Amino acid sequence: MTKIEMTAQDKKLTKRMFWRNMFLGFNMSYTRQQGVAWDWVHAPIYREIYKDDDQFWEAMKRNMEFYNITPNMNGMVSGLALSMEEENAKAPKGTFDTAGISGMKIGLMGPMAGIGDTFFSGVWALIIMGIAISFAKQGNLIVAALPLIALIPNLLVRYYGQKFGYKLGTKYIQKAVENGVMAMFTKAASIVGVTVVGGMIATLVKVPVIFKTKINGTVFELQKVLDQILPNMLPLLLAVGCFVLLRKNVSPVKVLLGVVVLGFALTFLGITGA
Amino acid sequence: MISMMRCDDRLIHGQVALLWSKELQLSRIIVASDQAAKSDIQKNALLLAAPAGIKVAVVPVAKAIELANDPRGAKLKMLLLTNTVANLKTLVDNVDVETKVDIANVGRIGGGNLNDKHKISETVYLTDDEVEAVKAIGKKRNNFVYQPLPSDTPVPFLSLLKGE
Amino acid sequence: MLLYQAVVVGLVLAFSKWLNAYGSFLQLMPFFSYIVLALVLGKSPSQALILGAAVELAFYGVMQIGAVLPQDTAVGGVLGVAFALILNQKPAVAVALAVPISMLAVIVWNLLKFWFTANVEVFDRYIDQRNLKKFNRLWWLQIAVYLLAYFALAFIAILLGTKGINAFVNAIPKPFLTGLTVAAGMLPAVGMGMLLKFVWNIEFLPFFIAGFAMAAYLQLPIMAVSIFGVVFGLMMFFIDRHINEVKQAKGTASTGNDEEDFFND
Repeated sequence: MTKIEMTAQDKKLTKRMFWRNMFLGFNMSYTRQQGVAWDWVHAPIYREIYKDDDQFWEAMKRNMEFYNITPNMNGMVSGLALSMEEENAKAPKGTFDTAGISGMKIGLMGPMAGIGDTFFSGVWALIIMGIAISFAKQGNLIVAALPLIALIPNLLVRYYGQKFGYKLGTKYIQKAVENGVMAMFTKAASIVGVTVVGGMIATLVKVPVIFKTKINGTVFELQKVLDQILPNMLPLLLAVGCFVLLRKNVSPVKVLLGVVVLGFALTFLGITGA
Repeated sequence: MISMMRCDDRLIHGQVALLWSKELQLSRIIVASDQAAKSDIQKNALLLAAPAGIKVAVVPVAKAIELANDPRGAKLKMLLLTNTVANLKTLVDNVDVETKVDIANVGRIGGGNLNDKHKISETVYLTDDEVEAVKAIGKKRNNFVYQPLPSDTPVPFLSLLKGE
Repeated sequence: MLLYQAVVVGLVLAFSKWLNAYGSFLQLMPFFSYIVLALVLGKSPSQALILGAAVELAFYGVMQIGAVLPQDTAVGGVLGVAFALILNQKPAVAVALAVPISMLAVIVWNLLKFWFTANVEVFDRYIDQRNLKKFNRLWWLQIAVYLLAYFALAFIAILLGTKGINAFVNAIPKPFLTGLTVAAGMLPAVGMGMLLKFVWNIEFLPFFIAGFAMAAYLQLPIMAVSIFGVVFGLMMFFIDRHINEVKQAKGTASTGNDEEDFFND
């Protein structure tokens, strides 16, 4: 990796931007989503860059446009925007095409949200919550310490995204596409997710069978028989059943209600119980 | 085979990468946008956002029509994605498959005062010209809906036009 | 007593909604709120975690994509756990309360967002007037109202709802409560199915089976299963990288942007 040189001024600006960016998720509106938040986040940065008051307010007005991204992914766009705004400030007035800044933001927010939602909401939250729930279920207070690990990717992506965006520009996006590293990374992360879900089905989905009967004098316990065939067979069948229905585009609410009804029905029939 | 045509001004974002790609079990996404195809940053970012196992082409509208009509795609599940209503109309006119046409998010990006546009829904704002284009699409396509997420109930798009 | 409980649950919910927006932290640490909740209510944190685990399992698979909030799990979780803690109820009761509350609570967010949208014009005006002070003041006012709204929601719910919910829960016949417990235990299957749908690819089948077998036969805890998951993921990553390098060396690598290659696998 290329060494990134940062001046004291660069460091001051990026540090400020890093912390202000934590607020990007506040005050979303229907018409601009995070547009207002973008301006609040960057106002002191623009103040620092633009000594000229007209240029500062021009930047504020220009950036009050529709914006919507997975907030964790914004570091990179913020970093890129900062370097472009700086160029604008250095260039003689009117020679830098500010439409490029807007174009970059519009072009990147969609794909970056695509990557961010897939990773943060789709995979990472799933793994972390799987671990957290399994500890919490035993009342284990260690979950209080789990965020220390859970938040690392969140903070790293914010920090390095911003630094790379600011200092390396879009070069490394090109690079990441060329060696296909992002696709491989998403795939690897999904594999972790699928493994964890497999484990969670066995440990966290409960179908407690209590059905017992006497056949020719011997006690027949349904749960024991099922366990001999395959432990946790019913949770597996239930989860796979839900998956198949959902994949056939049955609405999640219907599946959810179906499971609740099934739970009650099996209990009233005396098959399951607490 | 085109599984759906979608108009979304953020192109591939979470709703597409995570939800629709799985809902439609896609293997290809064609992004039809002259300006995205021209911009290296945007093109690369879109390629980067391609969900695992899905190939993405970011091409001008004319090229997208060629790809969509290519017989080699007959067995692939493809999403035809574009960012403006004008592009969508061109695609509908030139890609002759009976498929769902969905306008999801459009009109809030790229300047212009929202008060000058017709508010069709929370996520769709159309200019006068776009309203006309939408009507023309409605004449050609029966399955023409407003549906941002797979879990949203599809609403016939023309029913959202009130006197426009 | 009830007044104190209403105030502290209100504060915990406001804190949770703060974490919900601030850095998107809440997504990864909802249990933090449940521990705080138990401490301020003078209940056992372990019990809060057990209740919280049942609730979070029912929410597993609910994802916030883009700007769309399908269910407000922060509100549902805090209130469901709070009611169950105060009334000394079972996890099944917490789940039965949390799920409908999370669906109803979306209304509060929609109302807030409606007001934020109306304010966008005001922000625009302050920029035209070049008044950063007023811009910042409105920004913080909105955040204050956002936090206050959720404080008020929890405060009112606890103050006015506790008695009614207590009577209601006590009136539930015993067999029905058993059914509820069974259903709450089965409910996570929906979330698992949902997540499988999002990440599914037939190539992942072996890893799914391995994860299930490790937990079902070897009785490994989820932490251990996920470490093996990381091992599998890394192995595939290195294999893929190797394949890619070979392809690039041969000059047959596809970067995906070559339209001629679009229809090939």
